[in-house]
Amino acid sequence: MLKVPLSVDERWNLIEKISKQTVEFGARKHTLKDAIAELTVKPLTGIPVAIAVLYGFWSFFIDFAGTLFTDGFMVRLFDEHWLPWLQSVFPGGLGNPFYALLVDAGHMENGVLVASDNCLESFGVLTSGFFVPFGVVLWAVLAFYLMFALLEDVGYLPRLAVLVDTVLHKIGLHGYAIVPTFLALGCNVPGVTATRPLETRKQRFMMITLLSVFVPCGAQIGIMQDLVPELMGWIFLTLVIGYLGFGFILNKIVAGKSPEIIMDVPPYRMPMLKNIVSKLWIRTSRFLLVAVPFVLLGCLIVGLMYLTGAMDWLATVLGPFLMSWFGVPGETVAPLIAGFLRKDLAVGMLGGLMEQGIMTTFQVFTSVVLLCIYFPCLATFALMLKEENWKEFLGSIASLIAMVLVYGGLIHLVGIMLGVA
Amino acid sequence: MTTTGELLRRIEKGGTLDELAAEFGMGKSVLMARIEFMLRAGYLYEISSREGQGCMGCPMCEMCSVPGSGKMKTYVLTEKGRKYR
Repeated sequence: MLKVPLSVDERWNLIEKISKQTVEFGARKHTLKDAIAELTVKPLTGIPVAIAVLYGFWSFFIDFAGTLFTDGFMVRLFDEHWLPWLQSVFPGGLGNPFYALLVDAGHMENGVLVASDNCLESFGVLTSGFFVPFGVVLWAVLAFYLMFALLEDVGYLPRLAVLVDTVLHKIGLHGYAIVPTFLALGCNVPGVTATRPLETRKQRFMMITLLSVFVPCGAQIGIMQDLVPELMGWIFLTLVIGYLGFGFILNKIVAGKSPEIIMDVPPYRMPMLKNIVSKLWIRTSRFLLVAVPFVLLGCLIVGLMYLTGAMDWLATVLGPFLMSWFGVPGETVAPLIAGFLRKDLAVGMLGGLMEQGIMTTFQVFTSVVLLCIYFPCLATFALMLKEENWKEFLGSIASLIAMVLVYGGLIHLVGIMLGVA
Repeated sequence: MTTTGELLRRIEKGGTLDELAAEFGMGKSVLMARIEFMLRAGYLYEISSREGQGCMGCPMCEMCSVPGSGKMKTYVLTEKGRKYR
């Protein structure tokens, strides 16, 4: 006979005692799935596995999107067929404003205006405007989301979250911040949305700010890989250092709490084809709906700014500052303006400048990093406005400006010290 | 210190439910039952996308890896839980 009332813990102890006496557990067989689950979550084995997984992810991304589709099919289709065909049939010809806006603006060589021989240089709405989203970015996004959906459905991401938990705690975030970060590598918009379940306003503010500054989207990565494959390692290293370094500083200066959480890591599962196809379709179609109109609009605005002389004026006004502070030429103004609309388009414009021999390798590296960090694209900016209150939004913008000036200047300084700037 | 208090103290340090079960020498099913109790008692709450705070309404909610959606359950201590321990 029990003496009541029992305390909560006494009741729980009694439950455990009864369950031990009455419930018989069979010998649990340690399956291969259990062994894999343990290996991927313990740091000693989990970190090498994580490196191997991310390397596989990256290799597939490059081979599928870059080598197979973009270089193998799309560059040839656009540069050898689409551009020459448009150049031959479109009325007006080189120097005509309408032709320049829609087909080919051309470029100066020894004082003579010459036609472009590729869709990155031509910068027309019908050439670059279609090549960037359909020739490069679509395949990069498709490859990224396919791999992401597989990792997600297998159940690897929560384990990755456990692995990076210690590092991310140093900057006031949880391991699961890796999920919005990873999502943002596809597109910043769902990445920012995925910060909603974060526990405190401080964590959300920090996460949104870091995502919008230091995490390039799949479209941007795809076109960067196409243009400057040899610099990708340095670019990512610079962004990771910025993410962790500025995360650490934000954690120290932003008021608020970062409480700990406890996670239930789901078991590994065989991915279902239906789920993978469904995710791929939803994410890719949403991306196209957001990206294509902005890329076309970007081409049109930049083209109009060139035609009206506004771009040259901006390059003259901002050129000295860009050169002295960041060490990049005034011509970078045009990609920076296009970057407000679409970062992939802006990096594509840098490709045009590279081909004209306007920039050194270090200037290309600095310009690409600056394009990543200087401002989120318009879609992300609009979402930040929606997700944050005014105080937080202004805080994000102020942090963003400070980060760009400090980090951009620092990169230039390092370049000077190394003798490469 | 009661076991519930010890559990709450440990939960505040973060980690996974599997680690917690191993540290306290209890089966995961018993731990899950205790978590359920702590949720009902208001010591913990589940970070959920379905209570208006998250990405509710997303067609991929059940398939998504974002914490609080269909795949990944996460819990955090409430003020009451902090006072209890």
